[in-house]
Amino acid sequence: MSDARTRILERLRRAESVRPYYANTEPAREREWLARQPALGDLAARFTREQELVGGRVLPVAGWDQVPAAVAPWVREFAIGSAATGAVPRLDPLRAHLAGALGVRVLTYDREIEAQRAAIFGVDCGITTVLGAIAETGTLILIPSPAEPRLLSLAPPIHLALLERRALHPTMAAFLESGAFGSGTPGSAAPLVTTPPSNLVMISGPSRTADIELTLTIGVHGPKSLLIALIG
Amino acid sequence: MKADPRQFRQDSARAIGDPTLRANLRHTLGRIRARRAEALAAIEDVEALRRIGNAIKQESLRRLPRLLEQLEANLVRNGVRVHWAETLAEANGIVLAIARANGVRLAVKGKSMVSEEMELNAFLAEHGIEAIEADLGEYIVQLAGQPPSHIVAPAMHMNRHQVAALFHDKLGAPDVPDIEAMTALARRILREKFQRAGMGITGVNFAIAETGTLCLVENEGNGRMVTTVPPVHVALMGIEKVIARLADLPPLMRLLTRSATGQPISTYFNWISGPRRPGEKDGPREVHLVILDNGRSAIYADAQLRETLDCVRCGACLNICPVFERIGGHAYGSMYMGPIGKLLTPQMAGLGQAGHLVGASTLCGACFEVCPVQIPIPALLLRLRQEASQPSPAGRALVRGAGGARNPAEAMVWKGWQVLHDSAAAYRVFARLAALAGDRLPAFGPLKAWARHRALPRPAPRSLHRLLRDRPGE
Amino acid sequence: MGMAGERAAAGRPAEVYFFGTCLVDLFYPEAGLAAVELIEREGVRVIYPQAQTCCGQPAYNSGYRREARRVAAAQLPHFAKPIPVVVPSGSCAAMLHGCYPPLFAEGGTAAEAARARDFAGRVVEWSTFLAEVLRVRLRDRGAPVRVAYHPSCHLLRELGVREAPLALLGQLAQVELAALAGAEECCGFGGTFSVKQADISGAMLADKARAVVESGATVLLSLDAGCLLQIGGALAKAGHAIRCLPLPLFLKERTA
Ligand code: SF4
Repeated sequence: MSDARTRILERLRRAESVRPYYANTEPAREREWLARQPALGDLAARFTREQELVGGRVLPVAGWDQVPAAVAPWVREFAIGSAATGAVPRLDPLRAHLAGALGVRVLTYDREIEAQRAAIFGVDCGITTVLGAIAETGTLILIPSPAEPRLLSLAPPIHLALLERRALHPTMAAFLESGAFGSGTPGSAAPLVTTPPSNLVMISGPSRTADIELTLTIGVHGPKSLLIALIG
Repeated sequence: MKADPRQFRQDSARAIGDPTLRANLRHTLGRIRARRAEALAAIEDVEALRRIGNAIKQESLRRLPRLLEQLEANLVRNGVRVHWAETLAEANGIVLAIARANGVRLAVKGKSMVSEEMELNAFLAEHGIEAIEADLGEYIVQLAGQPPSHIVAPAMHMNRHQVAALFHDKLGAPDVPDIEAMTALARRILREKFQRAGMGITGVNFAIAETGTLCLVENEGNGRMVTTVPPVHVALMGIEKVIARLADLPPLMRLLTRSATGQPISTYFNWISGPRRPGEKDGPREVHLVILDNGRSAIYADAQLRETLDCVRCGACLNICPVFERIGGHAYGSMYMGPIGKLLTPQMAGLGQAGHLVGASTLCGACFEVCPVQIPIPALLLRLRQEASQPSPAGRALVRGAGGARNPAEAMVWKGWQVLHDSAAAYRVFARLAALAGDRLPAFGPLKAWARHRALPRPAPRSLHRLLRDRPGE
Repeated sequence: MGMAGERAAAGRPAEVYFFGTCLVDLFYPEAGLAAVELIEREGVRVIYPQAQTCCGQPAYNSGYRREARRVAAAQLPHFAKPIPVVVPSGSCAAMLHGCYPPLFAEGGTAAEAARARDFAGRVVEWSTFLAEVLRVRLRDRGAPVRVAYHPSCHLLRELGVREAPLALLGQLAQVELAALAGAEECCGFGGTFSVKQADISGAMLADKARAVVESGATVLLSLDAGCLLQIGGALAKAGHAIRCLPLPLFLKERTA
């Protein structure tokens, strides 16, 4: 369809120089606004409150070594009989605890979806680490990777996310400025030089809909429960 | 039910006479308005933020052809295949070719207004490919054989009892209006479809030129499913969706979800920058983007009407619109309804087809007041009214079908009006006659329409001109 | 809104023009007279050019800009002095203030365009003029009454005039302002919309009329004659005894 491409772009280029009828004339004020950070107070507290407002659960945990014991009550409360993780060595103690003391069937998602789809759709709980989070809106940021594929945070009815407190960013803008997405400088004139990750997803609470009578209903296609261990 | 904007008068009259529909709309719109207002009240200086939203979209449009090329180059570098379509037929053809090349029999869809524009489901069905809507609202209206009645909440016109009856009828579910149970049923059915589908189809909320990233805003997780589980993902977008930078996203998102549903952010915000990479276990093996024009470049060519393309499809203007509240979305006969629909539909379908839509507004300005990107909807409606009734002045780009809604009788009325009002002498005679008529104004023509809902107005015996002229001492 | 602020800064003028508007002229002349007299009472001379007719909005809003421009052009010469033009209607003030410059920029001569810009800059909406420029003090002499106020769309959203009419009403000790459900929602008038889309207009109107009745007010006030004809027409047709009045007339009656 290169013809369509040429024709569309030609039409647009012809019109590109048209002086807009409505000119937005306050760029300076806008930059000033963008630079302003909302007063959020303690980031962990804000994150927790926002998550809870949308139905997520947040559990503060002192350190990684405390995680296995800390999530045990959740395993009982949500009757988690099976769980899946990626091939992440850091999760080995948790996996061992789940499989041992807690009697959970633990699966590793380490082959391609075509081989493991039914299994991952079938487990009770997917467990992942996360890249970071946004305090203002209570948002987890995940960049799925070969070690932790996308389906873990999507297909099982429960998603258990392990978030480090130091990975909390105040706002989405602050997250972008941290350069965590690609290696360029977002917002600068210089383009990103490396290829961005194939997928990034921001998650704020369990899956929801309000499509019938604007009535909030939790758990449509994604997880019905989002459990977050806030570590550190 | 085939959408046709020409049926507006009949369809809107029917809607007004439907008490269930009216009650459903009042209920849902009341809720959604309150949520939006609350969400925006919680953030600082909304007006400044709206100006920023407007500035970002204006700036993106100013550089549109260059940004589209940059987007394409970066997407291709990321492994996405980019297709361009001037017309709906071309876009449909592209999707079909991709489906055929992959042996697709079943496609699952996220919400996409462009696919509604293309009437893609019907087109694929004609070619033996089933396309299933996965957004709950879209799924409901698809089951009902209806088009969406709202760009954000497609089944807004139905209540739980109507959905239960539908699920009973089409899915054999018990006829019980339990929203959770119905949602669970849809979840079960659609999960199976996600796993079987050969292709996922979605729209695009924002496309980032500098990184080659397609952003998808959603709450249900259907967007994630559709772009993760099937082996092929096809994204559809209008040319106006591209923005320059990642840094443009935070302010736009701040506006979009609060304006749309009153959420500070959607449950899921997906950034898709390519297919499954070596070593990755899931995600589609192919990602395609179809960039559609369908009349947008003509809108772009007009310095004023270009602002139509700022729209981020939040639906706030529909929700606040007093006309939409009375007639619902279907009466507009188009996938774009409400105030933004009155701008888009006539410009895409032509003023001859849909010119009367631009007249179906009181110009109350509520839409402009809520629009997160400050589209001056009333001013653009006025401009289109002018274009509808007369050909564009020289030097301006023509709107499709300009002059197509010209009504010679109406044109004469306005000419007559002008003659009565552009000279003081003629006006004096006119005012005198009106005063003499008093309450004996005959109820025919427009006055008859007026009298259906109101008492006839009564011209005063002496005009203000006379009162002031006759004042002692004047 | 800019126009209120600019005028206020300019201070109290010795004389002003009054643009009466065609609907006031034909249907509410006493309200026009009251609006003039309330200004005169403050010691400001009011000039009412007898050659004025209509701002042109009906044709403008229907897309007939050439016709609107002809009528608009016929008004301009009669308001030539560099003094404020006071307008007792939100809708017409919005037209004169906001639409004249683009109307003549796209079709008039350069001289006309300049004249239209100068004229538009001098337009002041009536309640704003009273409350913010003249800073009137009103003494209520009427009996206790419960009123509702309909903030018409163009006054509210095009001109951004929200406070001035309420400030004037608030000065009347015996007047109780009733809460009006959905007050800021359009009444469904919209000029020719009211007859071209009579059903939709009627549905919007029915809700507005119900809200007025339910407010318990015995008087409905507004600064737009079109809305008053619309709402008043519905209330009259349904046999309600609620008086629908332009704000100036009500203020004049109560403070005479
Ligand atoms: S026109 Fe504005 S308010 Fe309406 S859908 Fe588009 S962005 Fe939202």
